Amino acid sequence: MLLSMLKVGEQAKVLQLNNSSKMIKRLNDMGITTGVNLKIVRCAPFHGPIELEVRGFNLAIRYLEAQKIIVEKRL
Amino acid sequence: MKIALIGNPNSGKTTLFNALTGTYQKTGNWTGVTTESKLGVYKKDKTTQIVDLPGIYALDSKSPDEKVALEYLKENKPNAIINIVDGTNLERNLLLTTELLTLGIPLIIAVNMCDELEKNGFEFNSNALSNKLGVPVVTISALKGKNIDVLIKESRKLKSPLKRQNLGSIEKRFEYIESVLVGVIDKKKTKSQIATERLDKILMDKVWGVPIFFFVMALIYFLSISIGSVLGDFIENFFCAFSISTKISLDKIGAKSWISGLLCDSIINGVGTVLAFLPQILILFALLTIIEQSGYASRIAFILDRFLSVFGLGGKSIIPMTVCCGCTVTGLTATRTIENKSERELTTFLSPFMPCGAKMAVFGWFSAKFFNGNPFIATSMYFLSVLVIAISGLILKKTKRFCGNGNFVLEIPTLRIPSLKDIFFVLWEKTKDFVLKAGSVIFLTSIALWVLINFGFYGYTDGNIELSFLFNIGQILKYLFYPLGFFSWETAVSVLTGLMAKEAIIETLEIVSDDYTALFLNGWSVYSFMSFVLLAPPCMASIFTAKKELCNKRVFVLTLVFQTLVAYVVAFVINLMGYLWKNGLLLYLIVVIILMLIVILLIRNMKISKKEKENAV
Repeated sequence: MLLSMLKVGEQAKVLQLNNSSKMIKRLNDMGITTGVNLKIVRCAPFHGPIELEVRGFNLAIRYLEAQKIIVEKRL
Repeated sequence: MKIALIGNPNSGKTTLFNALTGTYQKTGNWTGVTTESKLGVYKKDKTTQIVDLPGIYALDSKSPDEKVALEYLKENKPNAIINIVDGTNLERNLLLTTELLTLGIPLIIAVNMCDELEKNGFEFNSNALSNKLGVPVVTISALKGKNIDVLIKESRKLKSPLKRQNLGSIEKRFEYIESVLVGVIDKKKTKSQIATERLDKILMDKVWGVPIFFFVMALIYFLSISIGSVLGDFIENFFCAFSISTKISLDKIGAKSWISGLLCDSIINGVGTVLAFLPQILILFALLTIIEQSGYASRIAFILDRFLSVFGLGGKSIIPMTVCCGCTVTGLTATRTIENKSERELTTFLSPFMPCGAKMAVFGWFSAKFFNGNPFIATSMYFLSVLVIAISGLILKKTKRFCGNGNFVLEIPTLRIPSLKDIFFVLWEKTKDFVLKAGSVIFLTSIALWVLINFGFYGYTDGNIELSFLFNIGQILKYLFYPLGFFSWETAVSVLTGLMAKEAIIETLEIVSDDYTALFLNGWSVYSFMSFVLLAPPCMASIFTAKKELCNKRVFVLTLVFQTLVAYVVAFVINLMGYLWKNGLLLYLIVVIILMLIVILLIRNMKISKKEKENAV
């Protein structure tokens, strides 16, 4: 499933990042890599940015970017 | 010996730099406060140079402010690197360290915010970290200046290390870091992180987040105007008394009347009028600094990102725009943290519309003189500027240049209680800037104005202002502003001096005019003048900053033309509304506009349904 489909409070493991190589590099540098576990902290309304908790800190990305990240939901 | 400070954005490099060098550079709790490298000298040993570099996440970054750090390392090989890492966020901070280790430059790790860790009962094993990474580690608190001298002492002892192999893919590097951190620190949340989570639930609420933001900004404006004007009156009265007493004593010793005129009426009064706005500006800056330092600015960026993308801007545009409420020059340098080019340029284009401290001084003066000091008049300027930015954004987004909506990765830092020391420093710097400005630009315009008033084509005017150069200049210029409703020569001249510094507008009007009510037709034209001041290209200093940030002459010229045009049109519309209101026609106009909108919508709908029909066929 896509990261953008997760609900607030759900946790997931990143499987694949699909984006421009520049953007993937940026996400990687900020700690979003394949295999990392993350948690959705909050979503801004009307498909606004999504706040994630990853590697012990909080990060916001846009909905469009979240649509390009494939994840596996963790229960 | 040259030491470079390197680390992730918002890890406290600038705070450390300030503590080491005893100087003051701007800090804040958002990523990317430092956008250029700054050189300083260690205060306890002048032979040690310290360089503060913009924060970077990795060594081959593409964003313009991050490039500065990388280029610096490559070109001026420093003798040592202090890699400053945020102790509350080690996992990501150490990623950069793994890259720095491959450079072959002597390196020491400074783990910052160790006081925060101690307070929360964390046990941090710096020896274990040092052994595992093979480089010295010092725990420091940049804010409290703890251990910073040990850090410098240790970094002097560093020897040239062997170049290390790159660890390979990013996943492998994070795996390595995870293995390093085992036994160094436990993974749990600090108290302030838990408090942040609770506060964020309110500050970033889906429904309440935006109203809270608008309330906070309006409150900041309201407080600085209302409290500031009370304190400002004291200063103004002081200078008034000073001017009168100087005049009396000059008359006593028999000085020529033009000398006391120049000194008392022009210089002392001119400088006094401008200094009277110091309290307003200081309160404004203190409150804006709290917003930056606490980390609220990043929350604002989060809640407003979706909303701002409608206007071709992004959440990160809000930081430069908020800073522009204080000063356009600092605000424009903050645009560099926006990665996306079209959003960055549009922010540079539009944020000068924000009412900066100097403009606010002008509005304060106008509302005191024309609207009985009603604080809502000046506060309404803030909303007018937001409205103009929104409409211009909507229009400009349709152009090819600004259509691209880009990427956005924003760190949401832990909320922090702002340090009084930093707020004090900001206020001190601003006071210095402001007094210097009053002493230089305002002083010189005072003299220039005096010359232009007292001399004309036939020499010394001897008090007859209608023979002066200034009067003649104003006579020509005033026709330009006829459609805007302020057609006295005095206002025309003040617009010109306002280009130097916005405060000069008040100064000019105070010097050249005795009866302010005669300058304007009615309240509407005063408001039209205020909106022209708000939107017209700001002072020279910020025009030059905009040129530097845009790096493109064509876009820069376009910016100036656009801003002047917008200012002219908006002021014209306000004046027109006033005219119609006076003649009882405003209501008709509104009805006509609504009817026109309905007709346009109907035609559009018909066109769409026609297309659908064609498609169906």
